Amino acid sequence: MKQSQLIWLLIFVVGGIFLAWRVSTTDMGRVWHHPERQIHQQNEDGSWSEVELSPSRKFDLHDDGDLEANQEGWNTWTVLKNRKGFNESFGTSLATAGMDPELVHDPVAAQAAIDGNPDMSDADREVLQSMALMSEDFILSPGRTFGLWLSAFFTLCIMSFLYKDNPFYKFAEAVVIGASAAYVMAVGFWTMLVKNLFSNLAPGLMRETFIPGLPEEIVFNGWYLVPALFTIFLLWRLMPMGGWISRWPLAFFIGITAGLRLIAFLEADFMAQISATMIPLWVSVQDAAGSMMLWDSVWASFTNIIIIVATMTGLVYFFFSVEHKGAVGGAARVGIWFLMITFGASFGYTVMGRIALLAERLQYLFGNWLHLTPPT
Amino acid sequence: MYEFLKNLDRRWIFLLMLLAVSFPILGRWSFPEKISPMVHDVFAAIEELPEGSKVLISFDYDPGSQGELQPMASAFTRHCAEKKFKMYFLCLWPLGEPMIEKSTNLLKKEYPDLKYGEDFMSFGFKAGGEGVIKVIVTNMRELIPTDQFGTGLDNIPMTKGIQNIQQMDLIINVSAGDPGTKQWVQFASTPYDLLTVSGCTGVQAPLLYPYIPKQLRGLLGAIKGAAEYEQAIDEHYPKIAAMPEAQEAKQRMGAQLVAHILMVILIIVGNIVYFVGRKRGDAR
Amino acid sequence: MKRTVPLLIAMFAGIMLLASTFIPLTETWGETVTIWFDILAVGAFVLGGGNLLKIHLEKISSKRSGWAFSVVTLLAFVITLWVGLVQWGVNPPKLYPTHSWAGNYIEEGSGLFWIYDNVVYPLTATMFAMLAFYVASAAFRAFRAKNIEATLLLFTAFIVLLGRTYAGVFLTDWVPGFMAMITGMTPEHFNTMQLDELTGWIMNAPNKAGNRAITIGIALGVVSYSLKILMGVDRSYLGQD
Repeated sequence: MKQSQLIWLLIFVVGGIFLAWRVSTTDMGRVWHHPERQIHQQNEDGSWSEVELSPSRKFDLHDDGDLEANQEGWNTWTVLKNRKGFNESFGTSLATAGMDPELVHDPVAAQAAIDGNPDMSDADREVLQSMALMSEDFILSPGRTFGLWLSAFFTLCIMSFLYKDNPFYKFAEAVVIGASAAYVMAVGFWTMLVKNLFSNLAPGLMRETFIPGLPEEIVFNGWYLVPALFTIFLLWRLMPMGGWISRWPLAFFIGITAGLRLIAFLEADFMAQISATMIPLWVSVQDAAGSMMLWDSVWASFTNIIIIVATMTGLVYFFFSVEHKGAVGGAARVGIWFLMITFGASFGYTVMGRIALLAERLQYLFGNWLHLTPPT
Repeated sequence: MYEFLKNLDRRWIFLLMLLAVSFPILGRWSFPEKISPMVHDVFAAIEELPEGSKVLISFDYDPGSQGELQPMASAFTRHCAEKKFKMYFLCLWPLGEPMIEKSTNLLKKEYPDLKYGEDFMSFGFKAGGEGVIKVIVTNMRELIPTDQFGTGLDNIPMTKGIQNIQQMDLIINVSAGDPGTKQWVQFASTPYDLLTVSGCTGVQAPLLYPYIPKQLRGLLGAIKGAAEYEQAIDEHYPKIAAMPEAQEAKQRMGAQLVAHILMVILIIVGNIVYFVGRKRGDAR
Repeated sequence: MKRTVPLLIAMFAGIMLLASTFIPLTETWGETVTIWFDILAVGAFVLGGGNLLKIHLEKISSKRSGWAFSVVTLLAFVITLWVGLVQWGVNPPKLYPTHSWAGNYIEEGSGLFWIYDNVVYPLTATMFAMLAFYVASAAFRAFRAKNIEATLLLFTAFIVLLGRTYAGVFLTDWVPGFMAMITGMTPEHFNTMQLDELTGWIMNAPNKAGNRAITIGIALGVVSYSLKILMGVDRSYLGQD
């Protein structure tokens, strides 16, 4: 057996045993829900509004013959409230009261234990009882539980690339490419094509189907045929013939981008930056009594001088129309030093960012999936 | 030792990094935070606004940056809720709408008195990046006729009189790249002098410093900025300080500390190997 | 038709935007063409999806190496698109319960949300998280103090890495007090000698200025390139034929 095969085998065996142990001894890898019922009533003007229900009634799912819900003009929803971490906080509360936190897995036993615990104030007992009652209402969500495992599986698939390229990584990569592209398309369809393009070309139809709340003042606007046509032209690129027509929308895209950026960069990144660099070389910092604080003034002035010198020399470094020799060469050399400090700072910040991303992923695995830490 | 380090398999470095981040998370290590002047400026810009101010919160990021940016997005939302601002959510990244959902869920859970449409609302996602900002800064109704859920803006109490984002008292942008803070500065804050603060990724943060303070009032840089901001909120709002879920960034700073020290050690060891190799005449 | 029309379209679109900035009467024209641009951005999303389909179908039909993964990509694509477009699992909106197609397409509990939460989110987030490992490996192998420039970069990175964590405080918290004791001045004068404060100064002075030089340089480049496009001097975006 090759060394790499042995390592993989070891990872799978140890990981499998650990998972089996966690699943059998804890609540790990399961997502519990608290289903909540919402009822809406149609008003006289035809609009709908939510009927205020007491919390206990909202959570009452067991009574399917609920009379209110079956009345004409009523509409009911069942919203699954995900209560991540509920069991953790319930367990902590039980432990604080000197009881076994594992009782969270058996709400009936938990209620009996809470009732039979003499060392507890009535207020604490009431809180714990309500938590136990709520806990009883939780139902295991097969969809989200599967989703949690799938999510953890995909995370590990990607991480497996650290060892070496492998089919698990390739599989995960293939999935993310397909799913992300389609997700973005679906989002674009509902948010822009429906709400901006179709709503201007067929407002009546949109009001009847996708956007009943579309303002009445929006009427057919023929100008929107232009982006509709441009979109078709752009997609024509995929056709075997006549793909050149996609240059029209592409040119429009380029033209608008150039128009937008020309002004924005000139104003915010050129003129405003020059103006922000025109700062005094000597800054007089004064205390509350109005007398100058020499050290602070020197430091503030030094900072300003650094900003001016670094900006100017940095610009000289980027100015390639003159050969970097003599005074220009000297200034460019100072400029590159400041730029190196800038890149060093960028490197430090980049590292900080990347580690934060890894920390979040590990928190997800350790918390949401393995339940070794509180879920995020 | 030299030969071992010179030919070190990079997977050992990966393993070290994994352990450096894992242990502080499992041990839940966290450290005190000292608020820097930059973070203080961001906090003050929000804190000084009067109750009921209109705040546009644009979440321009996706899951790829959520680890860095979600804590500051949540902290901004809590701060605005405490200040009883009118919050208008928007996102310019296609995968960003669930980020708005996270914040609105947070509001529903932690601030049940706040109502959708009266205290907060969502415009949802709009494609076009800088093109969106360019339009809504002068005419919001044409591009965004309804909220995220298809309700006409005139039927929502808090958007009734809103014609463009110049009517906002503050723009808060949580940004992972383009479109993001740079575009908000270029198309909103600079030409229309709109008060803007930002929270952004570590990659972006150094690039945005030239805009501070005139074009951008302040900036939360990466997870450290978020942790300091959480600290600033905790010091002013004891209710939030008592909530473990509001200390997300602070809890991650333990992992940051150990991993940063590991990075410094790796660079030093790498350089020692390099200089020893150079002395020995190894070509590398 | 193939070259002149697109050239004119680009010039017309860009100049209309410029005009809308300076002539109040034309402001709404600028808004209108920008909204078209925003809608067209979604056309680009669709084009991206179409290209993906085309490339992977070709790969499958020619049975090129790794074609099985193309099948996975296509399956993921088709399933996600279908779930998203049919609004699988989406409730009708509360205000309009009789409009079954008017719900929030990304509502929590819907099919598309499930795919986002359990497929797109973990995969995308982990892809980016992996960079933490590679940046560590790169730091060990490539970050060398070979000359004064590289040393400056390295030294700054050290300060920032330590200064942006609690290490900066516990390593150098004592410095201002110590310096005050030696010099007889107040400790506040030496605050910048603490790593966390020094990091703040680096970010606010040399980093700000360095990035400002870069920003100005980029701005000049963007402005000149935009002008070239609007004047029809640069036509590279039109391709060769």
